[in-house]
Amino acid sequence: MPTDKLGIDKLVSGILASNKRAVAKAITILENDLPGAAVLLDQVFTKTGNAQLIGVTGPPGAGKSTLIEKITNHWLQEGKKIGIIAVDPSSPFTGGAILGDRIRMKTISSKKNVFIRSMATRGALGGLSPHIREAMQILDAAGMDKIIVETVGVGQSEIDIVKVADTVILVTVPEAGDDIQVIKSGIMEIGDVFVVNKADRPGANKMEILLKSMIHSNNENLTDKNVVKTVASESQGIDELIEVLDNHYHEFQVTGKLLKRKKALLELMLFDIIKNHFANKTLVKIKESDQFKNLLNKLAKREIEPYSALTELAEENQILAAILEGK
Amino acid sequence: MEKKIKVLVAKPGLDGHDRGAKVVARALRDAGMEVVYTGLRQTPEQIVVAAIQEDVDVIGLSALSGAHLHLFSEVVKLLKEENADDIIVIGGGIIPEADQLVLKEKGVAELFTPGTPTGEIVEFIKTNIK
Repeated sequence: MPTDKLGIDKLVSGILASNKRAVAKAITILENDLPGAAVLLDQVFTKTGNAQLIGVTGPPGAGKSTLIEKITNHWLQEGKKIGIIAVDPSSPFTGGAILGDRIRMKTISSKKNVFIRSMATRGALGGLSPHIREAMQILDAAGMDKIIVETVGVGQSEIDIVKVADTVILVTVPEAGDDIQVIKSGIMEIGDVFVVNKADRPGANKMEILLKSMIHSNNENLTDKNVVKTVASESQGIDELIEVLDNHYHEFQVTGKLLKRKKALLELMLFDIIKNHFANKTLVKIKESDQFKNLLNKLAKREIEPYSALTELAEENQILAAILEGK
Repeated sequence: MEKKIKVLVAKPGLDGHDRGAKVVARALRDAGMEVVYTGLRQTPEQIVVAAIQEDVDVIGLSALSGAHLHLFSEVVKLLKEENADDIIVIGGGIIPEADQLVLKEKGVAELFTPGTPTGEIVEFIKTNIK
């Protein structure tokens, strides 16, 4: 394959050697779906699967970036290499974005063993960039021990982080709500570790108790210990959080849950790839076909019914026909 | 898909006047660009590290401390050392004409002084990136 023309081979060797420029350029190719993206991903794939994938989510201003700075500093002292992807929202009107998470990570942003990349949501609604998975794989192949993904500030239902992370940290604050808020579906269900940040403010203990009782009734895999109080800006509670994270990951590894999780994440990835490459393209092809236009005209004149149109469409397409027949 | 324009807006040096940088950041955002805002008191080294990891097309520097000659040229120099001088550097602030000439000679692509309509900066970026 003439991949050299695009410089993909050179890029791949750069990534595997942890060259930051190569890693950055590769993420740009994937993020913008530029020529060579698929080849690039395939070439690094066998080198991935080694990093711990950590998601950090929670409402805007809860302290996600600050917390990430602190836990990163801790892991750096243990000699770990840390990749961070911080996501901020794109404007639905102009497509532009202000990516401002880096500003909270000043003490780590220039360190040798840290790579930080900001990404915008570009229309995705689940709290992440549409190309987050690809960017994480590049960091994984570049030898990062931990990859930390910070979602946009979320509300109740942006939960795509569970589709890409081994461990999800949900960061909340003392004022985040009462006992009803914590038993609602959605965001509260996806945490593996819960952090009550800004715990020097009133209500922290109550929030902690609410989260613990939620865990008791909700999730047999978690215990009280997975709720931690922190004051990230003052570095309080960070050691305890690290201990909880390490224990959770260790338990995941020894019980085999991690392998199951990784496989589930891969299933989601493969399914998304199939969806993007076949399903969406098939639908566009159908929509652009003469048959579709004819059926639409008939439909407008009330000469045919919608579901009869579907049957007619399927007559020319084996896969659609099989679905209609319930196979 | 067309590649999005990505810009790093940074304030090197020690002055705390970031209103201008934020106005420019918002104007670029409203023009559909992705703007990494790194905030106050960044060293040229920090700025170049961030620009490389973020793989930006443009670095926008703002300085109102009077130290623009040193700080802006240092960023350009470090980019060259990192083989990243394909990244365009532009600057803003109160920069005397004589200094503007010096900076342009050193490789700063353009300088925008107080009173510049933000649309001019947007236009400059759009026409000058590859």
